[in-house]
Amino acid sequence: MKGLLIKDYKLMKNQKGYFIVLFLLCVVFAAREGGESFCVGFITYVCSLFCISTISYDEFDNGNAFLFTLPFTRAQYALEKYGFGLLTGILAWAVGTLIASVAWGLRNPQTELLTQWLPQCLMLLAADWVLLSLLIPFQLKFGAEKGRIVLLIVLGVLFAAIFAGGYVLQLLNVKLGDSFDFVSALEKAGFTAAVLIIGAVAMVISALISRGIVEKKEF
Amino acid sequence: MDNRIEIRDLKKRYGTFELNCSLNVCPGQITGLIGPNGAGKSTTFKALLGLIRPDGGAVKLFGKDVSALTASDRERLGVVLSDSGFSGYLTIKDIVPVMNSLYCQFDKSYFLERCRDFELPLDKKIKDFSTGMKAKLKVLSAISHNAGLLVLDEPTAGLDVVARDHVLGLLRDYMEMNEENAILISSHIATDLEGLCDDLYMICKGKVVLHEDTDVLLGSYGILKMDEEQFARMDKQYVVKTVKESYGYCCLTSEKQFYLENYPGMVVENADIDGVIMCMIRGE
Repeated sequence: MKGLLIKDYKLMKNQKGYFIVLFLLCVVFAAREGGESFCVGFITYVCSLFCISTISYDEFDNGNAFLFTLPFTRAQYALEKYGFGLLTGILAWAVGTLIASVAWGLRNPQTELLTQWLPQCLMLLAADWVLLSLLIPFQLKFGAEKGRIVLLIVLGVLFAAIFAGGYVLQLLNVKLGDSFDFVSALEKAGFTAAVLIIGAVAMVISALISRGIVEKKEF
Repeated sequence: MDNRIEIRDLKKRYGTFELNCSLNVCPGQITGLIGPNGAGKSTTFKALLGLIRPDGGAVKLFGKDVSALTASDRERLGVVLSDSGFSGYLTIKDIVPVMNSLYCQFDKSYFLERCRDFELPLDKKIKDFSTGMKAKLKVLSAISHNAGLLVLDEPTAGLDVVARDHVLGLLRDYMEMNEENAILISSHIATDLEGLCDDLYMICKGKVVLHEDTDVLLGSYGILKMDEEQFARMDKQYVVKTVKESYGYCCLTSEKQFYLENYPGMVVENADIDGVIMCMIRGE
């Protein structure tokens, strides 16, 4: 697995310029009033998406045929993609959070960084894990081109379902806020931890699905 | 000792094409797989490397079913595929730590030394390499980690005569490293295989139609050319295949000496691999 991580890191290193631009954009976003959360989310999600593009790099020019003759198992390949996604995501999140925290701290000197700002950042990290959990299996199953189309369709259906559900609840005169009252009763830290656990569980389920996909693939 | 490769009744179906083949590669041997395009060579290689799932039969590497191979078993395997390799976005410098982590016995100094010998640029992306450079890198990667078996699908495809000579030289060096090393190789260039292989399997329309030691094939096999009258009178017990030609008949025989001694008027030519392939495909 270490060899695969090195391979993906080497592929990522080729995109140095892209990451420098990303870093500068992040600073610009953080400098804008109210742009701190966007700064953290942006750098985390874009860097995590690089994990998805390593799957495209592997597929490029029929590369998978040779790659899968190297000494690792198919399960290790699938898990490595999650490992690499986590590493890049957490690293990018840490950089984004550091930049945004400085901006937030300067603008809100009276507020508690740990209780008010950091939980928001951690929830953005959990959302990144959910994003990776959705993207990796699609990319592995359908490849670079088809994967993108299928994912767009799935997200479209998901949003349509949420919208339709909301519309139905509105018709039935159900107030959604009432149902979630219990959330506000929870401590902020507990809620953040719960969101992180949901993200981690999504990653584990997704990794198991991806392992099955890779093990069934023919090259 | 276990065969390095043992394929028994391997079956794989794609539409109307059906592969059904058996072959063995013993330690210390170089075995060639020859045949026309679409004969099933690449499908056999893919099944052997676990890239596709066979519909039937048994495929064993180092005495172990290919589906049960562990990562450490795979370290004993060196692979060259004609249409696939390391990502073109990597450089040789990038590959070295990858190989070093994947293979316990990767010989970094040997690998880099041979890269220098072949003037392979360490900092250039592989996608910008010439065909010859790519082929040399593929073979060097396969032989630099003390593999017990090489599986080489068209390692000399698209190479000029000098580059081919370099690649074949690397393979001979590999065989000298350990007397139990073995190679399974396919190539469209018959002369490469004639000078390299101990035995040859010929595959046609998914089936093995010939298996013979290279020495026997080149020494005993022959091409007979004759008119219709000679063909009608000849003893056909050593004729393997017969092809109808405009001048009469062309026959592949496994005993050219018999016809040289008994039919003085008959044209008897030495068989080369290309000649054998032609007769086996066109003949009846």
